[in-house]
Amino acid sequence: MLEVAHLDAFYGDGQILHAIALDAAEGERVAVLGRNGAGKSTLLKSLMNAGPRVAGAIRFDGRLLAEMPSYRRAQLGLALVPEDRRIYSHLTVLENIAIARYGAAGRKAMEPRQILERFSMLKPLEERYGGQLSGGQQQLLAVGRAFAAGPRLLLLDEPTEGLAPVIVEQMAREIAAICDEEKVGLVLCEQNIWFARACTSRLYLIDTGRIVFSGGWDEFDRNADLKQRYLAV
Amino acid sequence: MNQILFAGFNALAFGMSIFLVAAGLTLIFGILKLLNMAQGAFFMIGAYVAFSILGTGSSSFGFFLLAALGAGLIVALLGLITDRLVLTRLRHVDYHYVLIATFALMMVCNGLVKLIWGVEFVSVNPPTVLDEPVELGSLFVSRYTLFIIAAGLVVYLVMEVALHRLWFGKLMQALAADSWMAGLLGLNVPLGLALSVMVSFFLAGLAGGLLLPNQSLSPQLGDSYLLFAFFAVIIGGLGNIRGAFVGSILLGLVSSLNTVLLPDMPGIAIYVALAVFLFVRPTGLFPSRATQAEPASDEGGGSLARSRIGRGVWQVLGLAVAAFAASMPLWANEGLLFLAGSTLVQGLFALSWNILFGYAGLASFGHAAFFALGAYLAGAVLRYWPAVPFLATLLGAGALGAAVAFVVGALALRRMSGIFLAVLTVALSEAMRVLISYSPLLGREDGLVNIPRPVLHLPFAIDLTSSAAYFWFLLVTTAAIVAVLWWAMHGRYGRKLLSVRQDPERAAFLGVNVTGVRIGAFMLSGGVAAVAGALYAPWARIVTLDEVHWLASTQPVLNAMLGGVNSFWGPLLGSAVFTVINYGTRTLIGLSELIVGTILLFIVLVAPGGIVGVLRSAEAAWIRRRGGAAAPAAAAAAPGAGARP
Amino acid sequence: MALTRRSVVAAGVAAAAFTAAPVRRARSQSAPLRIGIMFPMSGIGAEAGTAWLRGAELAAAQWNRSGGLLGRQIELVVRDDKYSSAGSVAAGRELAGMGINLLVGAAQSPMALGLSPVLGELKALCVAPTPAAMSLTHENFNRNFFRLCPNAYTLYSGLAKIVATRHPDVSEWASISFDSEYGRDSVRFFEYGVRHAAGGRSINFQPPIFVPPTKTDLKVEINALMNSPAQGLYLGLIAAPCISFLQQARAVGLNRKLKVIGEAGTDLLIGRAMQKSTPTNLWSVTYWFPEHEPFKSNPISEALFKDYVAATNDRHPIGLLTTSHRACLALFNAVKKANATDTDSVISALEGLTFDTIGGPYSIRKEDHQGYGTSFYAKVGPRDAQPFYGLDTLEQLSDAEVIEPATPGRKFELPS
Repeated sequence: MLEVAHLDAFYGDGQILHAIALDAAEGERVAVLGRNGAGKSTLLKSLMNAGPRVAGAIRFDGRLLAEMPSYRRAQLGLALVPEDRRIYSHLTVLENIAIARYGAAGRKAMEPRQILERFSMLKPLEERYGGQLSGGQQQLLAVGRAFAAGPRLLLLDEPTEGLAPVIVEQMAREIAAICDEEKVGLVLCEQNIWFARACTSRLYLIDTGRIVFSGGWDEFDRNADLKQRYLAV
Repeated sequence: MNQILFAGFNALAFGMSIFLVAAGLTLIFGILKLLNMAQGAFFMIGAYVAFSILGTGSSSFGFFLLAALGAGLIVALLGLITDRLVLTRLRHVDYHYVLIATFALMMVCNGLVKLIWGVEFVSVNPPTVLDEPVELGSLFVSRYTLFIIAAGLVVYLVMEVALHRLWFGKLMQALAADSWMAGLLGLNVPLGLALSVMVSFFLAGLAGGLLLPNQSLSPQLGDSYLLFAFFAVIIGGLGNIRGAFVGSILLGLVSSLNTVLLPDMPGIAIYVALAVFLFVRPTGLFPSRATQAEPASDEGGGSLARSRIGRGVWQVLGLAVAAFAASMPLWANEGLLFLAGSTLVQGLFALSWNILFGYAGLASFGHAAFFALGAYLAGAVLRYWPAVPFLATLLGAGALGAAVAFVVGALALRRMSGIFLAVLTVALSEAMRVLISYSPLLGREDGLVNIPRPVLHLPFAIDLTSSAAYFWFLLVTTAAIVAVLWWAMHGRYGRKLLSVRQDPERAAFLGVNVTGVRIGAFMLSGGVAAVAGALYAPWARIVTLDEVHWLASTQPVLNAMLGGVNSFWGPLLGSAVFTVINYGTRTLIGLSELIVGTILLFIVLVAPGGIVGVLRSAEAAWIRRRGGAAAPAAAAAAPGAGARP
Repeated sequence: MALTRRSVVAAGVAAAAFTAAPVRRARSQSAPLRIGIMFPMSGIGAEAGTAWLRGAELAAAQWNRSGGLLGRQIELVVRDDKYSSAGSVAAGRELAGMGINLLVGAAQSPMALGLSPVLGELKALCVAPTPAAMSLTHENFNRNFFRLCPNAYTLYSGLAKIVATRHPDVSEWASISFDSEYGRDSVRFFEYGVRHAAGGRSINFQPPIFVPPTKTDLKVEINALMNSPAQGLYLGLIAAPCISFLQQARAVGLNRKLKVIGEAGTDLLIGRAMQKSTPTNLWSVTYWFPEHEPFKSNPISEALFKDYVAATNDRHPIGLLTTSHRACLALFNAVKKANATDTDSVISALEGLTFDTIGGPYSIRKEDHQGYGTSFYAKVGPRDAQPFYGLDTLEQLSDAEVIEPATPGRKFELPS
């Protein structure tokens, strides 16, 4: 479904990503692990044409995305949840989710109320304004919102950052459940290895803008020094 | 007592007429973070369009409304075109450039209006049914005035409901609050922004049509409403409809009470009110989220655009030009010599402006106030106290300019920058104009005439009465000041300024007193501008309120941008080139506003680095072609050589 | 240190353009006689400037047809003074630099005040059609400057005389004017004129209302006037604010409450703008109604009108053009009388000169270079047919009746 070939990404004159190759099949869930500054966020933003200048080929359903603006990519079925959440404070939780429905572009999508049901921590906050939520609640809302457009591929950028472990656990369960039921693919960028393992079936390792490992979790576990070299701080 | 009552009533009437113009202004700011200085001009175009539809005879109420709607639609269309051609290119550019661009757009619109509809005055009556006087006790109003009040209220209510109750409004707010995220959610952001532009221009055009019978119609209409609309929007809080509504009424009240309570000083109250507001509560009565985050720009500010051609070449060229200039009194026509001398003064003035903008990153749109301070001081001293040595007067002018800049800077720079500072400078400059016009000593509106040229009393006397002598004096003094400034800007001080401009937070971390540095730059800029004015007074031998007019404040902006704001020499170059253009087109009567506006617009959109920017790019290309010894370090030094649209 | 980077381009262009200009060629008898013309050709004064230019062109064409001046054809060299003092000075300097010492221009007070003091330095003289500021022939008197029109005192007290004598029943008056030195003076002069014309009758003036020059909304001021006992009004506003005032006044019925309004400076522009809504009780200072007496039987007026129609195909000229026409006539007559074109000779010839204009004979006072002749006042009203306004009544007044004593070098003081 998603095929990335030879992707370079630049901010100004500085090159952040070098010859990235990555793919995800329909409904497949993959992780991208890497240290701070390795290029994870840049990668996701490149997929959405949401910041960096990009060279290389990004294909979605076989179609080259080229210069397509971000809102059109969202309408195709790509949903990015950026690491700084960016909830609308002037809208309620329900409205925040509802506003994302424009990206559905005709696809079948869950109703906002249904999404609230699936994220148990959000349900009681339905009428609360976005600006009144805690950081963790906002994070959940951001993730939940992403499902409102019936996405085919979810791009999550460090969703667990700053969250309490108990919430992280619950989030892992809820995301995995929805993705399975609605057949949503996932590209998850994370530093939290446990969470990544719980949500995905295989992973990439990224270091200073290059993919340095691609494979399943077993393979990853077998090479103990991978973790040391690329993820340890 | 009756007068106070009427002032209260008129606050509402006048306020609603301002609100009709301010509504579109605050809307477009709220959503696009764009302060549209051309809003008044488009409002005026709406009035003229409605006039073309209605004619001068009396009309029916229905036809009148249709004409206003028609005007709104046509101006909305113009707004769409403007968006495509100009505004979309400026979405991610430093907002100062956007301010300058919309300002240039205003000049273009004014020029076009004069071209299309001529300069004759037009008077259109309200539709017959509204053309009746109404007596409310001892208040004499007309039905039309009541209609305007109603219209303003209706527009406000519609906008309030649409923006805050309707789902459509919530979408617009989302777009305004975070358009990047809106795009990621699948909202068609470009369409939303274009629609917002069209709506705000529609409002301008509609206001023009509705207010057509309110006063006479002439090409000056846009300017008078713009100032009021601006002030109302600032007082109310940028980007906030409720604020614009309340702000308009407040302003109407201030203006109406001014007439009743201060009949001997008409017209000063609004400037004072605005200045007070900006000092006390710059974000306005209802600060909206839109103003809290100052619009981020990708433009990190340029370093000095250094030339890669050897110094020797430039030095020889510079000497040649200086020698050429010095020889002018020997062969040039009187008129041309006068222009050359005025160019020197304007060059200095533009240089002073760019200290603030190119180096410190602060835009002043009221810089003529400093120039006028120096000019009036020198003029008055030369007229009334000729015994004072002229050099002392020059120094005094510089000190006065710096002192005023210090007061304004110390009060203002701590709390605001960017757009608010720009508006404050305009307000203060206008207030100064009004104050000078009250002073008989300064010649009121006729200005100081018959200013004698000085005689310098160094150990020997130098009589500067002849044009040649004063011209040489101008040349020497300008060169000296430029030299001092060059030395200052290319040393530690200049680097400190640039670091504050590029990244104030980082500079603060490094221990730089950011506000102090900015105030210092303001003082330097104000002082040099005042000296330029003081040099000008005996050259022209007349100083008038034209020197404080807002158009005079646009001259250094234009000159600096034309030459290149990222270069030390840019403003001087720009002044020279502008004089040449002006001289060359001086027989193209009636088109000056149009030409100046178009040039400025062209520069902002196509060549924001000005002539120097273009020369740099040409230089770089030439060097590359010759085997590219261009060091990457030098290339990295020039990334900010102009905002990238 | 990297030095001045004044553009090579600018220097080159400058050198090319500027050196080409000031070639003083030797004058032969058949070379045209150049007269410098300075009027606002752009910006705010453009419409008036076009009218002034037209008047000058018609005057020159007329003289050229009858053989020119001193046997040479008159050539007008036109420069835009941009309706500002700085522009006027720049234009004057340029023309003087080209060797042109005979100037017609400085048509309004700001331009005149700027240009007059530098005329001596430029060794040129200037004949000005319409600047009214008192100081030009008083404390700012300059030997090289001639004012060919009524000054503010003559203008406003003359207007006052006309409206007051036409309405002896009106004893309650009010004034509204711009908040400027000139505006305040005009109010004082008008008031003086009314009291003087009333003789012993008791006259009451409301405290004058002053307005900033850019104001468009005058409703508070109009409301004050509606609530005052005033039946006569001096309207000192001109141009767009004047028309806004009349428009807004009409909306509440002020024009019906007032018996008479006097204004100076906007003239037929009011009729053109307001058309069928033109007030019926408004007296304006005016210049020319070629199809009415006394102009109709004046040979100069006849000829001028004929030329105007031939040149423009329009039968409704802007009267202002007759002021520059008059100024040019003064200059041409003086040059003819002096039989020379140098500044000093022409100045001497202008002093004390009397010549014919469309409004009868016109003279120039030797002591202060103030011109005087006959001034005209018109009451214009609405019409049903195009152009929807027309002349109702025309009055005239000899300037000599309302002229002040000549005191060049001293400030003008109103006689008590």
